Amino acid sequence: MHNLRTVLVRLAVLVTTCATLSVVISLCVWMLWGRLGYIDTERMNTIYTPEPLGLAHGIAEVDPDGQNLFLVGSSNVREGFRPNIINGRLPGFTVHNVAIGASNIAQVYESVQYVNHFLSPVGRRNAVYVVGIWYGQFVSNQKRWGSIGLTDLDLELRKFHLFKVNDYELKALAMPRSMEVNYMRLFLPLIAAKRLMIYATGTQIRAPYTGAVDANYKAESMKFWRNYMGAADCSAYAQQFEYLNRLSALIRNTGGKLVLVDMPLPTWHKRQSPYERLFQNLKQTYIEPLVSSQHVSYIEMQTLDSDDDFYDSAHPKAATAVRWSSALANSLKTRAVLKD
Amino acid sequence: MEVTSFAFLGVALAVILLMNVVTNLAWRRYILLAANLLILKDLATPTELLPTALFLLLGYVLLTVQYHSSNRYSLGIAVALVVLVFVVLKRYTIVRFIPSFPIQYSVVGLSYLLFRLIHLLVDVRQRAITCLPGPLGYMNYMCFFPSLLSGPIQRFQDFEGQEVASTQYEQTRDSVERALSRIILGFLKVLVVCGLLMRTHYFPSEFLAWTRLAGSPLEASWVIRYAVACIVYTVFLYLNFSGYMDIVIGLAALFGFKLPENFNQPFRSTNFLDLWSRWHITLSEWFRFYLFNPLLKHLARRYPAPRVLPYLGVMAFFITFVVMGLWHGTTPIYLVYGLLLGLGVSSNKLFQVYLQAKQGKHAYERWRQRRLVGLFARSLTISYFAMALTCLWADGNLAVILSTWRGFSAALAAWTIVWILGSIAFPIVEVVRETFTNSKLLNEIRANPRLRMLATAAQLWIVLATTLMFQNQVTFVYRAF
Repeated sequence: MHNLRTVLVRLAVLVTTCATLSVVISLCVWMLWGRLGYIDTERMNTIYTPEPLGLAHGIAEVDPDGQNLFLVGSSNVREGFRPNIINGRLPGFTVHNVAIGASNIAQVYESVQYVNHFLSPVGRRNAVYVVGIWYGQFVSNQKRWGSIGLTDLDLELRKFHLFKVNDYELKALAMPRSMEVNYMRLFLPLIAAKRLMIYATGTQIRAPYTGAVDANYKAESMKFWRNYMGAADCSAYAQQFEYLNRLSALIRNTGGKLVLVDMPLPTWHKRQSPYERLFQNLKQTYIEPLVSSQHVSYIEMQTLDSDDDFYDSAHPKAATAVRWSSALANSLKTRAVLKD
Repeated sequence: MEVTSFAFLGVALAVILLMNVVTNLAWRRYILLAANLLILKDLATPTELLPTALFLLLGYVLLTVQYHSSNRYSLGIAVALVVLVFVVLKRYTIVRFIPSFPIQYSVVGLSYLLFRLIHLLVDVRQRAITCLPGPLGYMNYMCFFPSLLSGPIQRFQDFEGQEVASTQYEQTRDSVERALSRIILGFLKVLVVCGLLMRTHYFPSEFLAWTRLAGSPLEASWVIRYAVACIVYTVFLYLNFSGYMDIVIGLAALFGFKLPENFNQPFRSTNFLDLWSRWHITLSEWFRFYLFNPLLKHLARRYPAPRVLPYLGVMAFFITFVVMGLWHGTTPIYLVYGLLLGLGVSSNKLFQVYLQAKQGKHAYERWRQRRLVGLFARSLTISYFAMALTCLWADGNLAVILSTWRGFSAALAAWTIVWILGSIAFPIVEVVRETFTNSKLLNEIRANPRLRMLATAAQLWIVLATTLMFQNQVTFVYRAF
């Protein structure tokens, strides 16, 4: 019994010391570090913080009653639309980039549900969701998330025990909303610690492709997308458009606005991809009924498709991102959704 | 199951608590057996573990035969049989023509089971183990859960001795704190530092795989990235493996078992032979006892002339290291790895033989002790090893590039860079290390138990905070071998 006592006492001392230390460190970081003021999954995307976790923690940065504009989508939205550029150009709005790389529409729908959940009724009415769409997001759930069906965001949200997920619908546990927001705010020191790590390591998770986009690269790239998407059939698109309909319905029901942006792709990619052709054909069928709703608006950015603007098969160069962000801001300014 | 998983740690905690209460040897063996079976069950389904179970059963049957047999060929047949079964189960490329087991099965930990089994067979045969291990002792030794997946490889005699000694073992505040501190240091290495290094390695390795060599005569950025990838992977592998060892050695110490050390500052090796007495020590020793020594003895008997003896050593080293490389994996790239290791170690030995013959033993030793020689030899050794380790991480694209003449030239250029960088970095690292280890602060922390505990708690906090932020846990590399 002496041995057991020794082991247990030392374990207890270690756990207590660690808990005390956690409280002290969290308080110090909290006091030293302010808020960023908006979510940017691109900036959160560090070695230690994957984008979904950046979004999960980042919710504490959002003013739940304010006028928020959320940029939602996959990696081309994350890299292409920079909130620091758009923020100054849309007076009254705080612009957040909550896009998660390699999302399909089901995960985009989850992101919107997650963000919307934390807004107050006023905040939901003020909210504008700008969803960047392109064919890569219409990969089927089976192909993208396998038989278990858990998205990257699901995996992160499980850590907080706030939601249950069924068929990509987030179901919040019964808890007053203000308590949930404060619960997520407890993670603010972690966000600060992450920023500290970015400065300390100088490393972000994304390393843009720097090689030549030559014939060999293009062939490899097409092979990658074939493997990523699977068969080019209509059923996967239909499945994902269904989630887009649900997303639109959610925003409509809570009084928010939805802007769909048709994202640019390099011309060589568009020309060679059967998925892109199918997407453009089906878009008419599915998007037109959506756009006819009062709360939905549509921005065509397919014209910004110069091959020189992309460093790989889908992602914009840093200079291009500045142009895309400005173009989006200008386009949004003219839309009724922002003027209502 | 990962060593860092809650399931593994839960079983380990239960064993620690029970083993520190129960002092009866028989009961302790049953507790250990239950823990071993629980871990095995968590590794794979019972059906997937069937081949491993049959392998263990075959091993015990052969062991019993070995114990009672006086046939001079029985040991050779037994070892050949277990190696053959191992090779078939692991699906080595050369035996792909043999039909596979008709079910999906797991081979996790099989390599280490092979090492333990061969050790038992040989030692029982040579009467280094005088009593035939009972089924319970056999199972506990073969599947001892802290070292099941990747060692360290402990001798049966030591394991059995510790089983008995641990009943009388007395935990002290100091011993428990040291064990806890070691476990947490292991977690820090595996989950925090390796996470960073894994990502750091990912970028250049992706670049290397996706780009073809262009430009003339060598693409500089490719060479530099290759050099960086090699350095980062070597440090990553060391921290990943030694971190794992810290965890399992610390856990075993908490219930009275002392597992052998597997690393002894490998980056301070001054030659390739020295490296293998510092890196994966228990594996190197196993190969020394059960392959190198018998092989050298056999060769010496066949070619008894004293002047050829050093060259027989060179040959025995080469064969041993080729086999060691092949053990790491089932595809041809591991043969390349083995050949590179064999080439490194045999060149080293040949050079040593040549210089000793030319200068005499004492002059050679004096020359070796020179600071500058030591420095260059050290960086040459580590840089060569780092380049050879490419075989463990290179994907098909990179392997194709490296197999071309240009790729090979680029690799040689990268090796030169790593060598030069090593020659510059090692003295600096030594100075920093000495300053740090002799620093007043560190000595105060070491001397003060409260500060020691605070340092351990700080490390634990870093581990927990980082683990919370990780999407994917860092896997243990040697588990795959």
